[in-house]
Amino acid sequence: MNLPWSHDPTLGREMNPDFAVLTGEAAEQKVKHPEPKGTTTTPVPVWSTVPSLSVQPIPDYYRLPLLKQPVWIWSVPTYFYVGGLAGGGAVLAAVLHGKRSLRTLAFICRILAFVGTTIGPGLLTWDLGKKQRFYNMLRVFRPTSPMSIGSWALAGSGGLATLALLQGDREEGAAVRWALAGGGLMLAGYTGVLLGNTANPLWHGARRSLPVLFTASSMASTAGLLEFLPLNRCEEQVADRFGVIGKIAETASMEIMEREAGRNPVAAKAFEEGTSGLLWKSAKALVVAGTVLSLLPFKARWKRRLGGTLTTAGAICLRYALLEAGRQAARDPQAVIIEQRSRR
Amino acid sequence: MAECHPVGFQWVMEAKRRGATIIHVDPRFTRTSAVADLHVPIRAGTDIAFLGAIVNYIISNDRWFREYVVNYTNAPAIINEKFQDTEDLDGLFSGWDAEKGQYDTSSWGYEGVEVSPAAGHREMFSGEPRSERGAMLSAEKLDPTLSDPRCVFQIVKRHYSRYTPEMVEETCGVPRELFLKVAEALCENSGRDRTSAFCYAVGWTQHTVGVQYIRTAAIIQLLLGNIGRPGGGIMALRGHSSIQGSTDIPTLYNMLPGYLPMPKATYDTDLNKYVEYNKSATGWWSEFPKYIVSLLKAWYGEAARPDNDWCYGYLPHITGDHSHMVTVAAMADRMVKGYFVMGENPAVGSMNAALQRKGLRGLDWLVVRDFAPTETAEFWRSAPEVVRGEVTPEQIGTEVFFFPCSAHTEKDGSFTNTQRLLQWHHKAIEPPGDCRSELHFVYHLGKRLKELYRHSDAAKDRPILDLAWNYREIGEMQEPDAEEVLAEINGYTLPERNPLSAYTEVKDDGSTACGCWIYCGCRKDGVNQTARRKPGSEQDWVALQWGWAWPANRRLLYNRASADPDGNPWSERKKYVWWDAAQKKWTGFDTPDFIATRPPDYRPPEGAEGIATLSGIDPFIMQAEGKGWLYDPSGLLDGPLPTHYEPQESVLKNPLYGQQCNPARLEWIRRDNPYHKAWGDPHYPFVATTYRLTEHHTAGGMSRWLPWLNELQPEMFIEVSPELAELRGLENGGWATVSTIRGEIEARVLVTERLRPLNIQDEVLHQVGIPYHWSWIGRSTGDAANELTAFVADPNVSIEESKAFSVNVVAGRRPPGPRAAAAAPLTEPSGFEDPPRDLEAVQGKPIGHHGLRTGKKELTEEG
Amino acid sequence: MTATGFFTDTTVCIGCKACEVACKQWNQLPADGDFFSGRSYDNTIHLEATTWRHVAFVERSVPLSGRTTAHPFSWLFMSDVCKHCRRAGCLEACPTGAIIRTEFESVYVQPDVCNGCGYCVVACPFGVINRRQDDGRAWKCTLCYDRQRDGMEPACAKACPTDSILFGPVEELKRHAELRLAELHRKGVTEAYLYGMKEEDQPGTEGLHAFFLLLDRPEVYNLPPDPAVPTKSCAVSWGCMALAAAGMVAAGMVAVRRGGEK
Ligand SMILES: Nc1nc2c(c(=O)[nH]1)N[C@H]1C(S)=C(S)[C@@H](COP(=O)(O)OP(=O)(O)OC[C@H]3O[C@@H](n4cnc5c(=O)[nH]c(N)nc54)[C@H](O)[C@@H]3O)O[C@H]1N2
Ligand SMILES: Nc1nc2c(c(=O)[nH]1)N[C@H]1C(S)=C(S)[C@@H](COP(=O)(O)OP(=O)(O)OC[C@H]3O[C@@H](n4cnc5c(=O)[nH]c(N)nc54)[C@H](O)[C@@H]3O)O[C@H]1N2
Ligand code: SF4
Ligand code: SF4
Ligand code: SF4
Ligand code: SF4
Ligand code: SF4
Ligand SMILES: [Mo]
Repeated sequence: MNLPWSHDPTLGREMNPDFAVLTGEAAEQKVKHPEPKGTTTTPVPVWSTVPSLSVQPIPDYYRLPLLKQPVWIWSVPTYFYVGGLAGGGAVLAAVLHGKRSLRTLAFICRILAFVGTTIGPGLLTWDLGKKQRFYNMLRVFRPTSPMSIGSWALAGSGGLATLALLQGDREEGAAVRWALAGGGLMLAGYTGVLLGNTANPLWHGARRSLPVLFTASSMASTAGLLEFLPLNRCEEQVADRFGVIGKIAETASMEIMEREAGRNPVAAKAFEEGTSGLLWKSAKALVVAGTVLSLLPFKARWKRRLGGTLTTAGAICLRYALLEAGRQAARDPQAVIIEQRSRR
Repeated sequence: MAECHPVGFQWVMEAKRRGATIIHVDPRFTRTSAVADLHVPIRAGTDIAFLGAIVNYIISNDRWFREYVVNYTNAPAIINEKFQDTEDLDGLFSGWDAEKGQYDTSSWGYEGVEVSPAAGHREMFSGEPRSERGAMLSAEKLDPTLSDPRCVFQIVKRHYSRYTPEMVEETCGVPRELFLKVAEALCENSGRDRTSAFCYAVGWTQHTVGVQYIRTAAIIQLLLGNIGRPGGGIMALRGHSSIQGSTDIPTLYNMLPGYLPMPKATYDTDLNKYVEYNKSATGWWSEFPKYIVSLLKAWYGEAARPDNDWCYGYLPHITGDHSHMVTVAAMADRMVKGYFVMGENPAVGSMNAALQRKGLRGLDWLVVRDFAPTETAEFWRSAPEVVRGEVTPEQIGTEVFFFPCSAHTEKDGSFTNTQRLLQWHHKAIEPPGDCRSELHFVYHLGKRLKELYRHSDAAKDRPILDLAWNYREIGEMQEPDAEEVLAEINGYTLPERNPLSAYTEVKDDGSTACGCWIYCGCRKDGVNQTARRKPGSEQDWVALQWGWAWPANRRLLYNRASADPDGNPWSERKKYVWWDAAQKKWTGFDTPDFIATRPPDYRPPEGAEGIATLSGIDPFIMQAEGKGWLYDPSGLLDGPLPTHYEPQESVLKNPLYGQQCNPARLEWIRRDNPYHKAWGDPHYPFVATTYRLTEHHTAGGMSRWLPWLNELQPEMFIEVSPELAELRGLENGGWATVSTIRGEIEARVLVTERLRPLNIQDEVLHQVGIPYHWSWIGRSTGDAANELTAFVADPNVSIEESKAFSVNVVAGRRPPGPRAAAAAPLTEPSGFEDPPRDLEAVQGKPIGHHGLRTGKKELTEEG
Repeated sequence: MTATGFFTDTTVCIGCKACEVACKQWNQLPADGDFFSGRSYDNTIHLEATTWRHVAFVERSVPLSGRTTAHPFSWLFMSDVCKHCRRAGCLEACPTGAIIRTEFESVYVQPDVCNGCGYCVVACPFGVINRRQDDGRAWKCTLCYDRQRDGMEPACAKACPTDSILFGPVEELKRHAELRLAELHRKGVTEAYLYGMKEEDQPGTEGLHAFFLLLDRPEVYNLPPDPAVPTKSCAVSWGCMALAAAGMVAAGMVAVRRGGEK
C-alpha cells in the first residue's frame, strides 16, 4: 500500500492505523506467487489424497520434487541450436578451406560461425537473471564448470569467427581457421556436457551420449540450414554428404541417448509423457524423416527444401525436448530416489 | 505444550534426554505427541474419568505415598456426617438446594469446623460470624489410620471406586492397556526418590468442569506425594505474556491485587465486615488485614486514615457476577453503556462470536487499544452480519474509539510468567506515532478525570480526587515511570518510603503501603530484582538470581513438603528444603516456604491463633489447616470431589451418573445462544474441540498480520480423520462447512491420521479439530471458530467450554444467507426428544437476568 | 579458520518452525505467498530461493521404537537447509565464481557477482539453491555469513528452542553427533542414524557441513539417498565429446574429399 506516511521513518512500526494494513519491510516484499485469496496456484497442487505417508515400498516426501527444475527459458534451447550451427559452420569452414569450387560454401560457413557466435551470447544473456552482468561469465575460468568452459569457448570462437570473416580466403589464416574449428567443436558438443554435468536424473543419466548427440545434431542442423541455400553442385554434394553423416549420427545418438537415459526408467518417462514426451516424439519423427529423406536416391529441389525443414525443425525440437524432459524428470522425486537407491 | 509453549518445552525435551517419560493426553496427535513417549487419544471432555481412574488405581493398588498422605494432606480428616456422595445420589452431592438451584455446602465440611478456602468463592460462607472458621483440625477429628469410613481417604476411595479401566474405555475411548501404562508410569515415577509433574493449559480448563479437572490432578499428585517437591507439581502453562501477572494484579472483576477478594456490596459494607468475612482464623490468611490496609495506603496515600477505614469505602463493591460472558449478555440486552477493550479481541476470541458482536452493537461507546484495528474495533463496518446485510452500520449506535498501543519492546515493564517469575523488560525503541503504553493511557486518563472533578465537593467524587496518582513522567511523551509503579507494588514504609523487603514486613497500622503483598520484595533494597539476568551457568540449579518469583523469590511453593515430617529430605536425590537442627531453621536450595524457625515437631497449643496454628508438619500454609486438600471441604461451587460430567453438548449419555452435566454450570438461556440436545443430537453427531497452532496467536491480532507466519498456516482449516473424510465425502485440501445451532463456518480440510475415530460403547465416534485463530481482518483471513461455540461456563471461574462440544461437518463451502443464531434460528426443531441434562431436582434452577441460569441468586442481581 | 556447520538432531525437533521464521526475518526474505498445501503442517513445501530453512512434516503409519501410541503412527519433523557440501555441486558449476567457499568453509553465493545464469540450480544434488524470479539471482542459506563474521551464531540455530539445530565447529559437532547416536541406540531408538556426516557414508559429496540425525530413510524427508556432486562423474562426458568432435572433423573431411575437387 502506498500511503504517504507509510515510509515516514518516525512511524517505525510500519502499520497503518487507519486501514490496518501492514506495510512493513516484509509485508512489502514481493510475493513470488501473488494470488488473490482462494485461488491457490502453486508449483505443486494441493495434495488431494490422505497425506499420511503410509508404508510405501519406495517412499518420498508427498511426491514433492526433490530437485529443482532448470530455470532456463526459451532462449537457452534456441542458443543450443544456434551454437550448434556456429560449431558446424566453424568446423566445415576449416576443412573446406582451399577448395576453390567450395568458396561460397566456405564463406557461408564463416558467416554461420560469426552470426552464431554473435547471436549466441545475446540469447544466453537474455536468459540471465541479471542481464547487465553478462560479462561476469568471463570473470573466472572454472574448469569444473562446463558452462564456464563453454563461455570461454563461445567468447573465443566469437573473436576467431570475426577474425576469420575478416581474413576471408587468405591462405595465411590457417591458425585462425583451425582455432575456430576447435572452438566450433567445443560449441557443438559442450552443451551436452553441460547438461550431463548436472544433478538432473535424466541429463546426468545420459551424460555419455548427450555430448555425442549434441555434436551430431550440430552437424545435422548445419547441413539442414545449408539445404535452404543456393549452392553449386559441388557444394551441395559436400553439404549433403556432411548432412547425411550428421543426420544418421543424430538419429543413432538419439536412440543411444534414449537407451542410456532409459536405464533410469522413471526419469525416462519424460520421453513418453506430457509436453516433453510430445516434443521428444516430434523431434524423433522429424529427425528420422529428415534422415530418411536425404537417404532417398534422387534429387529434387523440393527434396532439399523439405529435408532442410525437417532437419532444422527436428534439431530445434530436440533441444526443447531435452530441456523440457529435464524439467519433467526433476519434478519426479522417484526419478532421483530409485536411481540412487539402485546405485547403493 | 510443544505447540503452544515451544520455548518452555525445551525443558521437557531436556528432561526426556535425561530419562524422563513424557506422556501426552490429547484428543489429537499433536507436535507434543510426536515427541512424547506415550500418546493417549482421549474423547474431549472426559479427563476427570481418566484421572479419576488413576486415583482409583493408586488407591486400590496401594501405590500411594503413605507418610506424605497421612501427614501433609487432609486424608485423615473426618467429614460431616450429613455428607452424601455422588455415588449415593446419582451424580449430585448432598446439599443441593432445589429452590435456589445451588449447593448448600454446609454438609461438605470437616466434622465440627468450617474452613475457608485459600482462594475462590469465600462469599459462600457468608452471613454467620466467622470466629471459629478455619480452626485447626483437632486430634479427635482426625483418623491417622485412614480407616474411618467418614474420613477423607475413605470417601475419596469410595467416590472413585467405579472409575475403572473398563469405565475409562467406555467413557474416554482409551484402550485399557494404554490407560494402565499411564497409571503405572505415574506410580513408578513417584515416591521418596522420584517425582512426576503434570502440565496443563486450556485443554483442561475450558470445560464446564474445568476447575475440577485440575482438582483431580491435585488429588493424584497429593496421593503420590508430588507437591512441594522438585520435579513435581501441577504446572498451569499460562497463555498471554503476563497472564499470570494479570491474575496476581488482576484484571478480574472479583479480585484485588494479591488474591484479596473484591468487596461485595451486600456483605462487605465496611472494613471490619470485609476483614471479618475474608480473614481466616488460622493459616496464612489470618494476616489478611495487613494486606488490605497496606493496599489502601498504596492507593489512597495520605487520605487513607484509620478513622475513615483507610478509605475502604472508596473501593468498588460488586453487586453480582460481572465476568466476561455475563457482561456481554448484558451488553447485548443494551444494559451496558461503555466498554474498554485493551489487548483483547473478543469478536474473534470469545465464545459465540455473533453474540459478542451483538453485545458490541448494544454499547454507547467502545474503546479499543491494539496495534491495528482488530475485528473488535471493526465489528460495525465489516463483520459477517454486516456483509450479509443483516445489520447496517447506520443502525449501530456504538461510538468506537481506537487507540494504537505500544508493543512490549516500546515500553518498560514486567512480565509474570507461568512459574510466578517476574521478569523486567526494558524499552528498546520509542513507540511510533500516537502509539502509547497502557500505563500511559490509564495514568493520563486518571489525571484527566482528576482534573475534571477538581472543583467537586461531592462525596461520590472523593475516590477519584483522593487517589494517590503521581508518578514521574519521562520524556516528551510523558510516559509514567514504570519502576515507580513497581516500587509502589513492592511497598514501602511510611512516611520514610523505604522499600519493604518481604511481605512479612507489611503492617495493618498504616505504617506501610504495599500495592500487592505477594509481590513484596520484588524491589528489595530499592533494587529492581525482576531485572536480574544472571545466567544459569553462573549460579546453582535453582537459579534464584534470575528474575524474581513471588512470594519472596520462592521458586517452589509449599516446599516444606520436600522434607519428611521430621524435616529431613525424603531422599538425597530429591533434596530441596530441610530443617537445619543445628541452626534451628529451615534451609535449602530455595527460599523455604514455611515459617523459617518453626521446628518440625512444633504443635500448636490449645487456643492458638493466626499462623501460630500451623504445626511443624503443615506445609500448605495458605490453607487454613495447613494440609493439602484431597477433598475440598469448601470454596468450590460444584462439589468437594471431581466427578465426571459430560460437556453441555455431548454425543454420549453420561455413563456414570443420571446427572448428565455439571449441575452448577453457568448457562445462558437465550434465543441467541441455543444449545444442542444434551446428547445424541442427530443434527450434530461429532465431537469438536478447538485449539491453537504454533504458527498463530490466539485471535490473530498479532499473527494474522505477519506474512512470515501466514505462509506457514495460511488458511482456516479443520482436521479430520480419513474415516470421517470418507464418511462425509471430504477431500483433503477441499472445503468443508462446520455447523452448530449457533453458527456456521467454512474451512479447508486437512485429512490426517493424527485424528482417529474412537471406539466407544461399540460405536465409532468421530472428533473434529478446529483451530480458532482466524477471522475476517488481517492478511490471512477465514471464518472464526467461535461462530460455533456457546456461552456456557464453569461455575467457579466462569471459564467457557470451548474444548468439547458437538458439531456437524459436510463437504463444500458455506452457503450464503443468514448464518448465525444471533440473527435468526438456524435449524428447525427436529421433533427429537430432548433428553434432560439434569436430574429432576436440578431442573428447576432459576433463570436470572440476561438468561443466565445459575443458582447464585444473590450474585445475579442487575449491576 | 575452522569449518563451522550444523548438526540437526531431528529427534528433538518439535516442528515449531521458529528456525524458518528466524531465517526469513534475519535475512529479510519475503513470504512466498499463502498456499494451503494439504501436506500435514507443511505449507511452505520446500527449500526455495526465498525459503532457506524449511521444516518438513512426515506423517507415517509406522510407530517409532520405544513409543506407545494408540495406533501405529508417528510424526517426524526435520528442519532442512543447504548442506554446505564438502564438494558442492553449485560451487563447482558456477561459471562466474559467485559461489565461493568462505573462511568458515561454508558455501556462499556472492549476490554482487551472481548473474543468474541458473547453472547452480541444476547442479545441486539436494535441490537447494534456486533463482529468484523477481530478483534474477540465485539464493540459498549463507550459513549466516554476516552473523558469523560478527561472532554470532546463525539466526536459525539461535531461535531453535530445543537445540535440534546445533551450530558449531564441524569436528566438534561430529563428536557430539556420534555420542548422541550412541545414546539413542542405547535407549533402543535403533532406527536413528547420521546422514551425510562422514565422507564414507556420502562419498558423492565427501560429507556435509550440515548433517542430520534421521529416523527414517532420507527420501522420506525429501533428501536424496545417495547424492553426488555431478562433476565427479563427468570427465566421461568430456571424453565422449572429444570422440564425437573427432568424428565430426572426420565427417567433414570425408565430405570434402568425396565431394571432389574440380
Ligand atoms: N503458538 C501459540 N502459543 C500460544 C498461544 C497461541 O495462540 N499460539 N496462546 C497462548 C494462550 S492464550 C494459552 S491459554 C495457551 C494455551 O495452551 P494450550 O492449552 O496448550 O492450547 P490449546 O491448543 O488451546 O489446547 C491444548 C490441547 O488441548 C487439547 N484438548 C482439547 N480438549 C481436550 C480435553 O478434553 N482433554 C485433553 N486432555 N485435551 C484436550 C487440544 O487438542 C489441544 O491440543 O497457549 C499460549 N501459547
Ligand atoms: N474456541 C476457542 N476460543 C478461545 C480459546 C480456545 O482455546 N478455543 N482460547 C481462549 C483463550 S485461552 C484466550 S487467552 C483468548 C484469547 O483471545 P483474545 O485475548 O481476545 O485474543 P488475542 O488475539 O490474544 O488478543 C490480544 C490483543 O492484544 C493486542 N496486543 C498485544 N500487545 C499489546 C499491548 O501491549 N497493548 C495492547 N493494548 N494490546 C496489545 C494484540 O494485537 C491482540 O489483538 O481466546 C479464548 N478463546
Ligand atoms: S511466543 Fe514468546 S512466550 Fe510464547 S513460546 Fe515463544 S518466546 Fe515463549
Ligand atoms: S546443498 Fe546444494 S546448494 Fe548447498 S552447498 Fe551443496 S550443492 Fe550447494
Ligand atoms: S546463478 Fe549465480 S550463483 Fe548460480 S551458477 Fe549462475 S552465477 Fe553462479
Ligand atoms: S544459517 Fe542463516 S541463512 Fe542459513 S538457514 Fe540459518 S538463518 Fe538462514
Ligand atoms: S526451531 Fe528447532 S525445534 Fe523448531 S522446527 Fe526448527 S529445528 Fe525444529
Ligand atoms: Mo489464554
